[in-house]
Amino acid sequence: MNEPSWLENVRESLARKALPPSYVRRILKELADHVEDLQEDAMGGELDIPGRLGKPEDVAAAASASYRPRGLLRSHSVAPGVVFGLSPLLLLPVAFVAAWTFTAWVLARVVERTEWIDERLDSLRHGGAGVEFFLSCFMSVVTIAIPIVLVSAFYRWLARRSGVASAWGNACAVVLAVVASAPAWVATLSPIPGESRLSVAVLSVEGWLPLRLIQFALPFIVFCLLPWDARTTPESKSST
Amino acid sequence: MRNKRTNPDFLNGVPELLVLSLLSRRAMHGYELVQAIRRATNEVLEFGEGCVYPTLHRLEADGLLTSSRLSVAGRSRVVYRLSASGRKQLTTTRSAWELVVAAIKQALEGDDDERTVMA
Repeated sequence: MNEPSWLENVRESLARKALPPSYVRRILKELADHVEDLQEDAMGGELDIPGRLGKPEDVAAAASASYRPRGLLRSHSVAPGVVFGLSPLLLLPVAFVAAWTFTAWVLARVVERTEWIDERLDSLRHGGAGVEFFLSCFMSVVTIAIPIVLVSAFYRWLARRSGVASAWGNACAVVLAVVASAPAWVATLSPIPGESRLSVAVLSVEGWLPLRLIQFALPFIVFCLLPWDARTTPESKSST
Repeated sequence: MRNKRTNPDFLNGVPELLVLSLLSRRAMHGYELVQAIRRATNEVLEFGEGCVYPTLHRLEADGLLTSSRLSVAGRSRVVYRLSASGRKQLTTTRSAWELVVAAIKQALEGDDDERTVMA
């Protein structure tokens, strides 16, 4: 069997396996390169291509048994960088805003008046640092920590499911940690009526430092609690 | 036509171990890798060379290898290299393999001992 007919037979055998055309093209190209190398090494001598490369149907069977669909993240070299390096910069702030909006909506629904918060703050204005601390912590947990945990768990799941290199997961955790430490709730209770404020400070030194450190650590904690568990190689079904 | 003998079932996983081990030394394209396997095993392990590509593609899909198309000796070739996950997998698989080899060796030597005692 000469080289073109062997490759043609492999092509026909692969066609019967219903493999994606792009994968068939790839394996045929590599097999053609291999045949070319064999011919160069044989230097014009007799070459038993099926004897060296295997029967076409065996090669096709091995290709079919070994084929794994490649997801978007594995098909494009820049995709992991975009998904795990850049998208957290957008998704985590969106999650913060969504949590803040949801919390404000819930509070408005509960008291039916949005000015309730300001009134309550005024009523607490003599509470001192303890009340300020409690308010900052409560709002941080509800509108910052929970989004951080949920978004980190999502990326951890995505990294594991897509099977990208663990370095992408680590890079994602770093990006999430930096973004996570940016916002902080600041409760300021003023003895002057109407001057008490509950606000969000972003990228400033305001807020309680340990809270920001916890926010920074949360993505790493989530990533550690959900270990990487590198995928194992399944047993080969090919007849190599 | 000479057909390649199919390896018995207990050799499942051996091609993957060889591929990971050889690629841990340096990046190679398919033909280079096949030659390296032949040399490394003194041609004891015979297999259809065409079947190495599905194995490479599967290991790549599992994240254990990465590939890139490079120009080698004036020709465009797909060159494979081990990923970080692949190195971890190699360590695990090698340990498991060494355990199996030690167990089989012990079993075979035990058989010899029994025959010696019987004699």
